[in-house]
Amino acid sequence: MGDWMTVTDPGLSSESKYISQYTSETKMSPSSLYSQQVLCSSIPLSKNVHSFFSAFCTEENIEQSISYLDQELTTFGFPSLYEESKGKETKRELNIVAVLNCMNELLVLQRKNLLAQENVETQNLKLGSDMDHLQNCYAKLKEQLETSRREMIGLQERDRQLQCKNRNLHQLLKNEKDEVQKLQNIIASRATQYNHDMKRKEREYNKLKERLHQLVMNKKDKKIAMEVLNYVGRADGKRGSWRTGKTEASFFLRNEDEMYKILLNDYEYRQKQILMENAELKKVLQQMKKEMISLLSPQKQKPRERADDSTGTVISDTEEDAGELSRESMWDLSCETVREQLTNSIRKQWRILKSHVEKLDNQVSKVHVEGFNDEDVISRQDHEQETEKLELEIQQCKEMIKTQQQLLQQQLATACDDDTTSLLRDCYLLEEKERLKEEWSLFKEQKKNFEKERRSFTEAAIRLGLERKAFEEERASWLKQQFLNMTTFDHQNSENVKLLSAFSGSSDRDNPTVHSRPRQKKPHVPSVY
Amino acid sequence: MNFSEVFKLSSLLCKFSPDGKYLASCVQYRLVVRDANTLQIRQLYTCLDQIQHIEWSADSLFILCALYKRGLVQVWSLEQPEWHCKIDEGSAGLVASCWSPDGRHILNTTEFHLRITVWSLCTKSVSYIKYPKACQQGITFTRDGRYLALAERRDCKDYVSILVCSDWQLLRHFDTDTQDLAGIEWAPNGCVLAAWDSCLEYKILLYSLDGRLLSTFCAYEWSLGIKSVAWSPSSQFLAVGSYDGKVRILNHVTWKMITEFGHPATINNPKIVVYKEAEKSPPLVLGRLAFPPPRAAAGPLSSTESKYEVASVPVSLQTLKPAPDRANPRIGIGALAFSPDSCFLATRSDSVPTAVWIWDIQKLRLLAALEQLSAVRCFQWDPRQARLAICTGGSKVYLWSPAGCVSVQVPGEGDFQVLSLCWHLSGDSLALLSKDHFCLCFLETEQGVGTAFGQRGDHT
Repeated sequence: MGDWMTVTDPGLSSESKYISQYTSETKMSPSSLYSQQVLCSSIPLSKNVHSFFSAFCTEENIEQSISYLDQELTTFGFPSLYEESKGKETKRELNIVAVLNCMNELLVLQRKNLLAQENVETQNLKLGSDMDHLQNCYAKLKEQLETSRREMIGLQERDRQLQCKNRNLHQLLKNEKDEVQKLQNIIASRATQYNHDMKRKEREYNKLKERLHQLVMNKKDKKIAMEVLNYVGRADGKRGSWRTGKTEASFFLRNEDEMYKILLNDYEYRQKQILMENAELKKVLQQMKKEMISLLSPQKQKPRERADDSTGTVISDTEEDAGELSRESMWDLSCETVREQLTNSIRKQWRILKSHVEKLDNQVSKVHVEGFNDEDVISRQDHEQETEKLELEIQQCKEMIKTQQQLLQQQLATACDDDTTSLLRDCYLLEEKERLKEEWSLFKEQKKNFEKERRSFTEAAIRLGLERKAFEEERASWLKQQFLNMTTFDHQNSENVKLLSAFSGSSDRDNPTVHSRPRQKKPHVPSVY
Repeated sequence: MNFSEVFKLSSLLCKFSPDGKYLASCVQYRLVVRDANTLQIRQLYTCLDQIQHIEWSADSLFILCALYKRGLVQVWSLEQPEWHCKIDEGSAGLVASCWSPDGRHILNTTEFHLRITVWSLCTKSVSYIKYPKACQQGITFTRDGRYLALAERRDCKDYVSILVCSDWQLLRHFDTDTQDLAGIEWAPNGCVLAAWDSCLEYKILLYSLDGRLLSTFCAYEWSLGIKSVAWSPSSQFLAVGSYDGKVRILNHVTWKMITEFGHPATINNPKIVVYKEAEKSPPLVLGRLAFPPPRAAAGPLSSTESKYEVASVPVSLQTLKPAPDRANPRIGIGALAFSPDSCFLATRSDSVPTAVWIWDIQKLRLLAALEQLSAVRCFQWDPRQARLAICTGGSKVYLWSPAGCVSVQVPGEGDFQVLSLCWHLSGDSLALLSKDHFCLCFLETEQGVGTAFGQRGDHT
């Protein structure tokens, strides 16, 4: 509490002096300094003290201020400043003791409050600093947490990679172990083989050693010789020849020559075989090419207008080939370019054929899916129906043929048995014969009749001709007469002419068969008319 | 099919003459020459000791009998029975003996392969060839008999010498790029020589007649390599059978592999015909016309009848597990043979020893597989047509042709265990050899054969 230093120094005028005095003299905590300042600020300075105090209570309002103060104090629980009133009307006297006590109480209270305030301020400061501290700590810890988390992720990642590597290495190890095992097996088998061979060689070596030993020890050497009754002639009948230096060389050369001849023959033979094979294969390829072209070209008639590249090449190819075919003999040469040409053209044709077949396949599949789209393409159902119909027809025809065959066979079969068949045949034929006879007789009769008729007709025609002739002569004479008489009787002439014409017309109608004869006369008649 | 009588034989030495007229067989120290059709004895020769090897000369006029134990070779003439020739190798010993293609020289390989002596029957000359290689197939003659290729080894390196047979002149001598040359073989056209390495390395080299290296083929490294090699008669293909159970076919134009044939234990493809030999309980008369049926005595497996059944795929064949730590294991292609028209290839995989696989070379795929009841010992193609004869050590001989296959019991008292067989050059007869006997099987002409074979659907 050493705050009360020189508060009651009224002599000083300036506020700042006081404050600086206070600040320089006190070596206290900022909180107490602060409280000092507050104190300073709360306690008005000497100069203003009076003015401040005098502001509340002046000489005029003493009573009011006393009553006001009394009221305030009583509300705060202090005893009243007035003495106990004797009566209502009399003015209450100020109780100075009470006033002094109240003042003391108030001072004590003031001191307590100041203390409490100080404490609170110091606590506040402390808490503030604690909070700062905690915030700093918190920030640091958060940072630490972040870093440690990151580290952990990094470590996890590394751990994963290492595990992966571990697995790979295990796998490699396994593979290597397997290979090692395999190699070990191989080595083992080779080792056994080597050992076996070694042992064999060693045994042989031992035998050789023994034999050598034997030979060295053995005094008697068995003679190596051939005894033969007589020498045999050579297989080819030739005699042996002396071997001199020259002949040695010639033998050597001759052998070389023969050897090379044999080799060359073999190579030539093989080359011939290969050439033949080549030629055959070329022929086959050419044929294939021709067939492919012929297969493709008729179908390409329609889409030719669409002018595909492929069709263009087809046409050009056919033109080319026409030219090439004339040079067929060239094909026999196994020339590089010729070969390439052939294979290239085959490849082209094959590609075209393939695309064509693919198109057809697509068309077929389209038809299956969509139904009747293309006129050219018959739907499968129709096709099947047609085939069924055709099959039925074929069956029917077959049946018919069978029945016919059966009948024929029957007939033929029946022809086997001579007597009965001949009789039967005769039976059949008898009827036929009878019929024929009848018809024949009919014919003959008719023929006779016709002949008769003809004769009669001819006679009639002759008679008629004669009559006609006579009649014509008559007519002619009559006409003459008429003509002579024509000038006089015109009317009669015309009638007669009509009559005559009618008459001649009817005679013509009666004898149609005898046309030929009267026709000959006819030309005369119109000339007259 | 007619079977002849059974005659005595020793050491499986029975050979037809190259002209097909005679059949030579050995009984201990006697050499018997019979007529190939009537089996009448034509000549009988006696050698000094037991015969180990006989060989006809190419012109069928002479036969050599090699007596390895005594180091002797005796040569007999057919035209002149009283003619004789004896070649004594003496202390040099004898391990192999063969004719030269002209039929007038004999090549004797002395013991330890120290040298090859060329004895001439026409002149008094003798030639020596040093350092021959002791390998599976070190000497090979061309088919026309002009050249001889010989494998040699000097200073730990392999060489091949080509000699002209007419005058035994050295034509070419070159080294081969092999670790340990195991065999050489001329192509049938005589222009290419195949040389292959031992089984520790898969390598086959092709040389031209004039010694140039044409090509090298190596299918894989480290594992065991080539086991068997065969040329096709047209010289177009070279079949290489290896320990991995595959046959690789090389073509003569590029000498590269055109295909490889695997031999799996199960066959799944339905296009392949699999004939399985099956036991037939009641004995039936099968394909034998002139002989009484066998006695149905309680004998071993071989005396009972068997037939072929067409098995339906998938078929799994019997496999044999080889001993893992033995040398020359029983795996891989042990036997290969082309048919005379080069259309078929017959193979045997040693891990499936009871099966014979027949491959169609025109289509390069498996055509048929035959599974027998016991392990296949030997098979040989008919020299004229595509007909394969197989024997398994039982008393039956099996014939396969593209038309079908048939199993025929060899008649006779007791068991006739067919251990080996050998065709006559015309393909009309087949000699069946057992340990102590042999007999001849006469196959009928084309028509007869057609009826004897069943169709694929038949069970014969």
